[in-house]
Amino acid sequence: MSMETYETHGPSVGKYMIGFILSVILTLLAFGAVMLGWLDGWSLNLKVAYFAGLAIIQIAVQMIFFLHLGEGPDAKWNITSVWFTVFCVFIIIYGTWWTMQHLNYQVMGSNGRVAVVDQIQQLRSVSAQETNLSEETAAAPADMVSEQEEGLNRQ
Amino acid sequence: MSSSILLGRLTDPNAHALDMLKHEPIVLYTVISIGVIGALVLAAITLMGWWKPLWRNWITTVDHKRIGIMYIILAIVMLVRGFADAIMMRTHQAMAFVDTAAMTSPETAKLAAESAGFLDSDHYSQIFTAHGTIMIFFMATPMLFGIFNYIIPLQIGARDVAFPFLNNLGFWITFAGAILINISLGLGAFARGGWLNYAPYSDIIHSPGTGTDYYLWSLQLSGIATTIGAVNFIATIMTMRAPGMSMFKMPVFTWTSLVSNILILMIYPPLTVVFILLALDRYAGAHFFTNDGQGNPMLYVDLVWVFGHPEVYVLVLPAFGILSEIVPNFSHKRLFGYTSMVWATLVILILSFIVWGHHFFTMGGGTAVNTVFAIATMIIAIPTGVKVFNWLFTMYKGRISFEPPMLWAMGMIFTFVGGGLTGVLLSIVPADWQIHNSAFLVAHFHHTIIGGVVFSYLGGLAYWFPKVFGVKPNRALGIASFWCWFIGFHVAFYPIYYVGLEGITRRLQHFTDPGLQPALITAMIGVFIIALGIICFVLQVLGVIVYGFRHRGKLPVQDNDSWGAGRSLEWATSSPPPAYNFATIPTVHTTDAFWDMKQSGHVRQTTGFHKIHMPSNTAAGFWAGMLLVALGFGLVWHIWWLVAVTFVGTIAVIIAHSFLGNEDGYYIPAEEVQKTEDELTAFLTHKGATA
Repeated sequence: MSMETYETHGPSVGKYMIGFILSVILTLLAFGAVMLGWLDGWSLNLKVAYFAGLAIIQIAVQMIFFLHLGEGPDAKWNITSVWFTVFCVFIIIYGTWWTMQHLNYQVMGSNGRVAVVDQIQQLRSVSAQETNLSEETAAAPADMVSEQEEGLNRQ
Repeated sequence: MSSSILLGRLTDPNAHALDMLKHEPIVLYTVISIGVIGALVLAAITLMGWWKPLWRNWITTVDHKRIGIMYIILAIVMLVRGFADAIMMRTHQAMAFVDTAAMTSPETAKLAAESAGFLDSDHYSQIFTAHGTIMIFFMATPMLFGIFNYIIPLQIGARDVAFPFLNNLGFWITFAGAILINISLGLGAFARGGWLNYAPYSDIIHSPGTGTDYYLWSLQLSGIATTIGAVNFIATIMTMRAPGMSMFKMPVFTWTSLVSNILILMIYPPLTVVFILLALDRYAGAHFFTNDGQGNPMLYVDLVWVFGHPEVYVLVLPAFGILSEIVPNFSHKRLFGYTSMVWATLVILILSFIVWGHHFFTMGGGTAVNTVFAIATMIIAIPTGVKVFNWLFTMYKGRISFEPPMLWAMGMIFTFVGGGLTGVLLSIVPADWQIHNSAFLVAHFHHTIIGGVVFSYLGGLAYWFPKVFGVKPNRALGIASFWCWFIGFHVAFYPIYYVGLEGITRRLQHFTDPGLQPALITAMIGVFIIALGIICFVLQVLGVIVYGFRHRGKLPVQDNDSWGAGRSLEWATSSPPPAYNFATIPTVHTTDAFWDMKQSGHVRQTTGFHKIHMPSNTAAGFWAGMLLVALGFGLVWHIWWLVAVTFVGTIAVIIAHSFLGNEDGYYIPAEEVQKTEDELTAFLTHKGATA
């Protein structure tokens, strides 16, 4: 490879190497966490935050070190459009999440997680406490619940 | 399921491949007449020996002007198709009344009601779905891209778009989607779930037929084409503006087009994703939007409106831009408040993105969600109002000439404001609880879409018509067309507001309250008045076709500044413009660049031209489009070998184009440029001598 090729692709190999090493570290942090069980004691939300955070950092690393965000004659436009994209994605994701929480909670008969978990717990408490039945009959609604949790097949 | 390997679901009796033809005489006769007319057209082309010029000049072209014309022709054809659906719906609704009081039992009353009118409920549902889908995705969007294609490069003083091949490819993918959606007329059936086909109704359990599949794949094609078109125009506007044209010297139409294209890039990806998820539900047994397996149909509604509401602004922003070109021209005044116009456009860009939730005010949004979306929806009326006032102030103390484009513009302002007001009414949550999903809503969005979008686009077509063909369209027909649309619209949709308040919901197939029949008959009459307007418009187009015939396809060069008051750069070049648009790229010093040139006594260059680089034609876009029709067809009918072959084929065509296509283009020699420019010089001198 001649020097000219480097010239057209950016200032130095160093930047690519930093990007590569950072990407490897970030990837190892994600895989290691699962394979070596670092996060076993964490709550679900914390796990999601951990992985989502790593993913976002990874995106930033790749855009800056591999796609040369912020370099070249179009740098201003590129950075503006990246921030605009972030803004749009935020609106779509946060807006959907927020709206869906409301809808899940309020729409009768929805299969959103909130509603299902509520129903399951109600079903359990009703069958266990109020009717005061023997164990065999109390198991029937519990079976129904587990079926519901696994997801019914269509046919 | 008894589907064969070779023909997929076509041979499966449960898929009802030919039922519509067998049981619906309307469909049968339509398909027969389309077949006969199509065969006649093909025979005529063959007899006249037009295949070669058609192939060379149109099908394989990468000239943005010709692609623009093809987009607009497609849009007009689909307008007629979608309008035929509208006529059928309105006629049916006016007839579908049953006096249930006279019936002896509820059962007979129900039966009588269902047989009222001339359409059965299944066919009626397909018609309103096809009407909405076609009008938005295959009429308004191609019309929009036709105008973008023709006008944007001319307005910014460019020779072509940034990616000419992509432009050609985008057109043929749109065309493929339009073909696919029309195949559903004859083979199988179309979707019945309304223009956004809400899950879970569009699910495989509730819609096992081919309708939703036709819907999914034709719209997916339209979405891909629109997205690549938007990429193209953003790149064009950002990088190919004439020297001196900074962002705040761009014409307002270019500004609104830029914002509309940005909006497309923001909202079409969610649509593509949501359709892929629904396709996975239908084809692969996934559970994204089902009522079981932890799926949630409301997520479909949410994501589809993340697309759906901004889409309205995608269509209406360029319409605002067109008006901002027409009004100053025919008022003979500078546009009032250029800067506020641009900022209003940018504010609409952001606000239009946070209003989608108002589509589920009544579907379980809590107080907080409903409040935020209601307020955002009300606020968006403010930048829109800024625009309306700017047009009014532009007209104030102007010397208004009442040419057809100006009539459309004034009709738009009048009608669109009314539609906006009923929109504000709908954005008030308590009011919406009463009137959501009623015919009132139907009237509201037709008020804004016809009054705002269609009137502006038709005005834009009338305004730029002389630029495209060198001759003005017939003025009397233009005025007649406007008044028919304008009166017809108001006659057709005010009764719909009324019946909506009286309790008629949307998508309703028959009615039992005879007291509302006069209103629906009035609405039907309105639609027939609009039909007259469309006929006048088509006659104008036929007029110019005859004109083209008389000149054997080579239209003579005419005055560049057809209306005599042009302000932006498209009026600086001859009408029709030469293939290279501008012999010398103009330099821009101010907004209203051409007006400035006229004021400052700019002299047109007449000699000393250079050779001009042009992109080469390519057939790759056409073949990719044809393969995509077959791909969509294979997916709809589960013909998996066809899907595999065409999928690989489409990618192969694109790859082959990138290796074999003539990417270097060719040069128009300086002598030829000189010859073309001399024609305009001769015309201008002649006009100067006789005037």
